[in-house]
Amino acid sequence: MSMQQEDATLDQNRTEDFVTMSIGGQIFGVPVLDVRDVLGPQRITRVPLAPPEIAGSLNLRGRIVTAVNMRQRLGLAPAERPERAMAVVVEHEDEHFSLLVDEVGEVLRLSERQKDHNPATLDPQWRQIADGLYRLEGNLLIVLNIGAVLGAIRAAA
Amino acid sequence: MDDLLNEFLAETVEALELLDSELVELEQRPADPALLGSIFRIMHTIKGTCGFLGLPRLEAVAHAAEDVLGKVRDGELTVSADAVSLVLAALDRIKELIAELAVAGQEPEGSDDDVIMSLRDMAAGKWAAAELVAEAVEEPADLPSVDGLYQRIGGASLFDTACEQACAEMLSAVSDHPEAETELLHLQFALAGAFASALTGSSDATADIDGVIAGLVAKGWSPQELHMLRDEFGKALATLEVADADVAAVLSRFNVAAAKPAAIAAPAAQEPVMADEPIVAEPAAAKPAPAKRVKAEEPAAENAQAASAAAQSQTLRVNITVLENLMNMVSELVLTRNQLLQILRGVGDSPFAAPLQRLNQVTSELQESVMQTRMQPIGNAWSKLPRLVRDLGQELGKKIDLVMSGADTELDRQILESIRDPLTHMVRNSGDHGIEAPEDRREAGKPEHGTIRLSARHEGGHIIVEVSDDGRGLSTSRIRAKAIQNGLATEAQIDGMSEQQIQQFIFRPGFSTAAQVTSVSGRGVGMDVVRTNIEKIGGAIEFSSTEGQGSRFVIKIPLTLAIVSALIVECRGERFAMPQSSVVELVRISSKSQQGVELINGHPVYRLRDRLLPLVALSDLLKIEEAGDEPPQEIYVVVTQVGSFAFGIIVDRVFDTEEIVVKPTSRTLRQISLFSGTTILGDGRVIMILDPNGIAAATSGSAQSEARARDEALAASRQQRETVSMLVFRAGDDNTKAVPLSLIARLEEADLSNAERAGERTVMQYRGSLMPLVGIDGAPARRDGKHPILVFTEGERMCGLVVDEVVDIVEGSLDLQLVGGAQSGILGSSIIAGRSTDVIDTVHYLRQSDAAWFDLETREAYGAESERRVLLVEDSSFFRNLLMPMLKMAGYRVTIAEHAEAALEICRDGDEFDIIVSDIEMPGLSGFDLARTLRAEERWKDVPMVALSSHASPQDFERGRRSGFNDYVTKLDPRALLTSLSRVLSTDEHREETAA
Repeated sequence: MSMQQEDATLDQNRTEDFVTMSIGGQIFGVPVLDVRDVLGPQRITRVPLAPPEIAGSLNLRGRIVTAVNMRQRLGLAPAERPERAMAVVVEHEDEHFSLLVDEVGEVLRLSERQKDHNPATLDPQWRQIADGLYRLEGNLLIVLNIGAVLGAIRAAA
Repeated sequence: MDDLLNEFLAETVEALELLDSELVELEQRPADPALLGSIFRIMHTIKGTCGFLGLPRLEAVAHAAEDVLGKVRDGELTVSADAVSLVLAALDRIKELIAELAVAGQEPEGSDDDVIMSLRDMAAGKWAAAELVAEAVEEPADLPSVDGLYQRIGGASLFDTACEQACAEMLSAVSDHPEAETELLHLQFALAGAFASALTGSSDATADIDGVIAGLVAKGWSPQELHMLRDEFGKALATLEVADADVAAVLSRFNVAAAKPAAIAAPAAQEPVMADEPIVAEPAAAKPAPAKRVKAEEPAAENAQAASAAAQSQTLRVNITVLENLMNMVSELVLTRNQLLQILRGVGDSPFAAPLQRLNQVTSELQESVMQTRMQPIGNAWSKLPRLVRDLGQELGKKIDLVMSGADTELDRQILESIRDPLTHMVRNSGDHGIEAPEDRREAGKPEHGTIRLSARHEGGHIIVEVSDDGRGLSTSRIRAKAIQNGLATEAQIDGMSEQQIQQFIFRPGFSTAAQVTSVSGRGVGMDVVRTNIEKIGGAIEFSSTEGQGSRFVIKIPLTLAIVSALIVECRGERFAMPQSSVVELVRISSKSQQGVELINGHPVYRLRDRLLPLVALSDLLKIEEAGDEPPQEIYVVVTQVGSFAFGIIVDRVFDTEEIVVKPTSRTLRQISLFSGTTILGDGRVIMILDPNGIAAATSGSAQSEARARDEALAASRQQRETVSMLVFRAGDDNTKAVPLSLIARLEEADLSNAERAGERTVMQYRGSLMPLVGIDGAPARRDGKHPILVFTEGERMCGLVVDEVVDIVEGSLDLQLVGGAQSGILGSSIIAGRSTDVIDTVHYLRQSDAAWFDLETREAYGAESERRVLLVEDSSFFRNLLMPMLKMAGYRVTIAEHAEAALEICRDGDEFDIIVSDIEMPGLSGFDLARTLRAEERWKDVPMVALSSHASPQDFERGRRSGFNDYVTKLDPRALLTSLSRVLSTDEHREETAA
């Protein structure tokens, strides 16, 4: 614990940029450098027999990208208007994935000072894919660990 | 430096491959100076580069090998198998080192003294003195003095340093020179290499250095600059504490005078440098006598070099990922183009029309060109084989020639990579198991040299690769024994197979026929992997062999994996692509009447001409639920063939075929076996590509895939299925029962309360005639309730077997076990789909339904008016039980022989037969043997014989004919047998009459 505190002190002034997005009312962030693209609603081809988190495939400028339904991945109820979902395109192990979220917000520069570890009470399903959280004014931002979000889908499948 | 190292690795790996094959060639054409020159140059470059990069182990090995090659070039050594083996061994060591270098970024620790010492001994003539050219015997004495200078000064590392220093000095002097830095880097490297070879005496002294200088002049270096370089080099040597005399000796090789324009054209034509500058005497003395001869050959080699340099400037090394990206971009461009064209069609007259047409054309051409960049000659996958075959021959003491043709046949690089290993394995197998030892070949009356042929050619969108040898071939009896021993098949199963089918067992996992494991092959892994690899890329492999004459593998592979022709189908509003190659035909069915589709307990089958085709709905397979709206007016059946398994896939709509660019599925979706990839259609939408293999496996479960594993490799056209489609049903009790599907004419379902009573029989009006209905107990069927009916036909007559429930259609092997005191109507029981199942005797029911008409009709139908005596030779109890009652009913008197030996005994005992019906594959003597033996005996030479087999290809037929059979019929078609018997007997009678 003391080590971590030390780290925290050292990193006090470090900042990181996050693309923010909202899924089921909760704000999430993905490091800007991990994001390849942000897209509006897309035509998605459903893939039969795919794991439930996989919404389908879409054509991103000639590249076939797998769309992940983030609500499903987080165990939330389906969106009321799924056709309006926005897509955050990320890269994982040389493959592109499109994370379907309710809304994409602005890019925030956040300081390590605002960062916290995952609270022990966090839902286990969420804890696996959360890389800590940031205290915003009147809100909390959960950092998504892309590897964990996508890795588990493959493993489960 | 890292880039430099990578470049070096890529170049060296390529050079080594070239060396491999050229050395083997050299062994065959030892007198070819151009070849020798080329080999020497390659080895020399490797050595020089290693020295430059500071790789002492590699350099030392290459150096030693180069020495041997130098001696050969100078005529001091002859090209012998030992010499070539030794150099090849050095190459192998270099490859090992390179491989580790590529991984670790530096040379591994260790010593190469073993290889180097052997090479030195060889170079010094201590190896097999008899192989030394007489005049060269005194030569080795000169070697130490030459080595002396180079080694005394400090060897390669010192020269590297000196060159580096000199070039660094030059850089500061000529910094205004464009690209001076890279140029000097090259110079540094070239110079170090040139000095190394000039001073070690393995090369002809100054040609290399002259070459470097000439190159500099060509690049516009002035004489002043050259002198400066020479001086800087001298200074550098001096600072490295080289003795003054040695510096002078070294510098004497750096002849700036060579920088005359003429030197560019033919540096080798220059007067020997030593004559100009007699500063040091020792190199001149080292000049070997045969050098004149070598000199004379030099211009030719130089020309060759110039030619290859010209060829090099035409090619460019490009990273694969760049090409892949290019391919993606082109796909994208094609899509955009398609969209534009679609818009254009909508607006009619437009000023954009002409430029868009042009864009269209250019895009197509671009696409084609980019595809072209992925194509590589198949020879690239073969380059290692000559070496492999040579080593194999040496190790096994065999004489093997490898003949390759069609090496320039091009195919997609991805496919090339996939077939490289399988090809290697097959060639290795041919050399190891196929080709016999020279003495065995002599005994067999063949030339001592065995030949392995490798050929490739285009054939209708595919590439056909053949690997054949003229060796001993495969012994079918050994394969058979092995297959049984390894539990790959039961005797009964194998008995029903043709020779060719048995041969395909070599593709089964865990199969190896090599009597002993050699270091080369015979470990029981291999051919199954070969088959798997080839099938992975949508190819097929076939094997044929004649014992004593050789074996042949034929591989059929698609030209490219990247673009395939696909049929676009729709199911519940979603589209899928189906590779055209596995689609046999399309059938449209009106969904109201669903004519031809019959439901068997929820499993639909379709009567396509004369066979029942299992159907599977794509919506069920993919678990796409009904969209809720009206079912479509008509459905389509995509008749699909996978190996020997044909089935129909029900879809809602069928669109065009499209050329699609296949992309791999995402890792998250890869476990779905029903898809083989994904693609983007012309309109930009993403669709999944269906995998016919996966669908076939999902359709019929493990039974089918097991059957598939056995015979998938065989081309469908030449292959009859060795498994039997069985209809599984329930009737009477809870036990499942089965009947070969081929014996069922139709499946019906009828309300038996509408059936009529005629005498003691229950009959039903069916297709304009009366069909007797019987129950499973053989008694007339009870007239109540709705029941499925299995319809058997015989001639014009029919019989319906009323059953309780049809369970399934299962593709499986029929391994029949007899039950003691067999119940009438049951042939025996077999394990079908994991359950013990009674196999019914259809003939029994036909007889029960109407014994009188059956006997009568069959007699009439087959013209067996008097009792004919038939000898039935059949080792499988199932077929004996199937055929005997039927033959008896048709009016024949049947005698059974369980194998050919028994048949011979019966024949020789004095029994008379009008006709002999014999199985082909039997333990011991085969049917062919039996026919040949009997035909040779006076009493049996004219008796008609009919061959019986579970498969009847034209080749089988021809073979049967040659052995003496009058006809050849398949076991699974009893009617064909009866027809054949009657035909053969009547022609026989006819012949007797004419003879009389």
